[in-house]
Amino acid sequence: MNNYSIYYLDDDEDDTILFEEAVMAIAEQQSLKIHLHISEDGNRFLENIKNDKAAGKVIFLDINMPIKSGFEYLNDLRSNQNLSSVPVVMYSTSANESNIFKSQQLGANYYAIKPNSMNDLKKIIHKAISIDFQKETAPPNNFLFNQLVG
Amino acid sequence: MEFRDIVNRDIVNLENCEDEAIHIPGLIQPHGFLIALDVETKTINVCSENLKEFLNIDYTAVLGKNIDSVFKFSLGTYINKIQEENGERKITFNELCWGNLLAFTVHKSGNSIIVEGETTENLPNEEARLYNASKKLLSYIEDTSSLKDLCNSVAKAIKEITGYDRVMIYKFDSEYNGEVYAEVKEKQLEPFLGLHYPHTDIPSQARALYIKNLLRIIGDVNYRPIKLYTYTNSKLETLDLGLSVLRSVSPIHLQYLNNMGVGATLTVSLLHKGKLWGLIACHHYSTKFLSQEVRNTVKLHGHFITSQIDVRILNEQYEISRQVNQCVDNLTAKELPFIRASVQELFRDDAIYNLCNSNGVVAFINGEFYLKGDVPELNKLERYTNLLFKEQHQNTYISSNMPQVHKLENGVLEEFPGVLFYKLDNENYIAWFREPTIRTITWAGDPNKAIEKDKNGLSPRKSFQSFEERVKDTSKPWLTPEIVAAQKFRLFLQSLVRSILTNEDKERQRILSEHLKAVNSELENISWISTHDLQEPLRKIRIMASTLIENSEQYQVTDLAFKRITRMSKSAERMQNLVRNILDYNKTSAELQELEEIDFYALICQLEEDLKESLSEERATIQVSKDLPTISGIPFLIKQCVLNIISNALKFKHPERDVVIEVYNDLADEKSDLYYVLSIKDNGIGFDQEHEDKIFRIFSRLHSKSEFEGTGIGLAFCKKIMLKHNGFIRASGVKDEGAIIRLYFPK
Repeated sequence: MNNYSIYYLDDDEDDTILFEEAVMAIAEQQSLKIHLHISEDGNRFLENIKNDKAAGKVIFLDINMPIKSGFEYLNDLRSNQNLSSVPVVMYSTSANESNIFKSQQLGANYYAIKPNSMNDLKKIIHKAISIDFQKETAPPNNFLFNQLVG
Repeated sequence: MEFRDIVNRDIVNLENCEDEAIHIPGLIQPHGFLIALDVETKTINVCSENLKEFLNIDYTAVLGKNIDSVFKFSLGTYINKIQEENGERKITFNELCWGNLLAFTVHKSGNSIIVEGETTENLPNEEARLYNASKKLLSYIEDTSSLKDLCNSVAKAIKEITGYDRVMIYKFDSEYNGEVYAEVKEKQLEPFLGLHYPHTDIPSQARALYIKNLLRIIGDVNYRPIKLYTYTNSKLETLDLGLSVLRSVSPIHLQYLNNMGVGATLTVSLLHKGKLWGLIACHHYSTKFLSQEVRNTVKLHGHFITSQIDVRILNEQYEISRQVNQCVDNLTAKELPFIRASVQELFRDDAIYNLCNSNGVVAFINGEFYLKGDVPELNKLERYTNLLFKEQHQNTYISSNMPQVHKLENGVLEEFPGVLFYKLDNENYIAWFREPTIRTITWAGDPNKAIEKDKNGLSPRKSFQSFEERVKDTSKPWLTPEIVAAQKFRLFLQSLVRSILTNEDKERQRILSEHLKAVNSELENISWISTHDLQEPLRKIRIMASTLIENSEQYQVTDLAFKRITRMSKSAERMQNLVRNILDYNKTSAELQELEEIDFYALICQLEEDLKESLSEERATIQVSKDLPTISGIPFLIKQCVLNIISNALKFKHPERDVVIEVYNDLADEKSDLYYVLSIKDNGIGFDQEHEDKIFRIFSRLHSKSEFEGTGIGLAFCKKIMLKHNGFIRASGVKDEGAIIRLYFPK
């Protein structure tokens, strides 16, 4: 049984509840062991990831947050030697192309638009943890994550 | 042989003096004789009773005889000359007869040749004197500037030459009222200068004679007229003495002169452009006769005056012209910025009403009045200008006697009878006003009582005491240079106003465009809000709903709740689509994109590929013709546009047939010479042509939501996209048959 660690940073409580619900459902259905670390304020966020020794780590970053935006966290991650290779999925309501482009520029692995249904959310999360980021390099046109799942 | 006189015995009095046949009196003045002979036979058929006094032969002895058989001296050459004349020429010459030097005048009158003789005398050195006097005329040209000054100089010269007690120069107005324009007189005499004489003083037939016969002399007002005789068998009834120098004067005229106390007169006509411009009138208070030479010299002086009229009038106009142009130059030389204050600046300068010698000026420019000087009160002005707007011809109306041609109850026309009005455009104007010149005319006697009635009947007035009449309801007439100056200024003002308005327009547009920018940036903010803050709750509604629906058993969702939640979710979804479409719609204008060459055939083929699934689902086919144009445009927008149209074709399909969409280049369209016309035709439910406008309006829908889903943005979006490409979109439809959407791209 594989071990997964998902780090999810979002200030929106509704989204974190739904996300947690989705992760639990996946874990149950797929008999997976998933550690979900949800943070709403980014406090010790980077340290916690750094200290996590789990093999499969995926970070979900919301973009539009108070004080510090998802882009800034992404930038911090990519400029940290230890964290520069951790897969990051930008996770936002916005389908704005400039946001998507910026995410790619800053070194995100995927961009997922927050879905309208629980099923889609589950697909997104499942997809994110099942990719072997060591081998996978997303072709540019696959960058839009929910094109794969939507 | 028997004889009869040809005296015209029609009773003449003042009541019929306008009709008096003054040219055929049958009488002459006594200071000469008159003979008339038949042009053909040279037979003498008229002779004055007094012939004997001059030629020592009785008139009875010459009538009916051939002219050559009567007179010692030979008239032959002169008569022959006159015979050949067709005009109204006179020949004059001196001849010694019976010891008297006689001055002869020969002229033709109808079928007669009239020979007149008067005693004259050769004064020593007279010719040299007259020559010198005539030579002096030339110096007057240089010494005088105005016509009036010139007339004065000429009058003075004539007085010196002739010795009349009073020499006057009359000038007629358009109604032939005369004014004493220049006068030189003996000191003791009462001046007539400036007096006016009503036109009735010189009846029209007298004026006609003045035009024909330039010089008239009455040597003795109290003369006894001499009858003209013919022989009884002659066919002659009357003899026209229109050109005769001795013609007897109308008794009424003689009485008129008598009433003035005048003893002798000399009158020389001043003709200008074929009309009687004025007269040189010489009065003597005893009898006075003149030699031919002196008469000719006076005539020459008369000609001299008339030859100068045009030049002098031009001169005077030139002076006025110089003054008014100076005013216009003062105004136009100001360096004025293109703002309304510049118009105010112009209206602060007195030159603005002096430029046409008006009393005041008003301009109405875009809702504002500008005034200077004396003008009608604003509450009266409107009716005045309304009238002018109505009466104007070619944007202009000029009058100096408004109250005489128009009526307004508020009395404003009487206050300002003179107006010079110019339209600047449909509502703007400029108008100069003149107050009435309460012109004081000093008549020689009351003109309304020029004819007096007493117990002896009617007679010409006896009182020539000056009578003042005040003429109102007219202003000074507008002179050509004044009108020209006003026109000049009006053009200047017109272009200034245009520049000001253009400037104001620019300023308004600048403010507007700043306002637009502000609004746009606000809109962009709203777009951002829509992306996030509007999308967010909708998404949550849907995802929350989905957790319930997807696990309905787990959450014990009843069938009814399930349906309601589904509907709720659908509504949220519709709202999401709306928000997204609005965003796209706004994006069209917000962003500037690079134009690219777009091959329509390739574009449609690609769309067909992209839509493969939906097309097969709807059992729809697209027929693309290969000659589609290549246009330059923004690819994603054009694609969106065509996609929206095809989506509509799929959406509004006819329930009884499969969808067929044709895409072709419409070369038959009437605008196809200027535009590429891309037509997309379907066989769906179509629409009523009357709704064409409506279908391009944002959020407007022709169908209920339950019939056809949609946000009502699709075609509005297409319209906006086409506008962005400098093109346009048209729809034509037939209900139940289908619709054609045409996209026009400029070539």
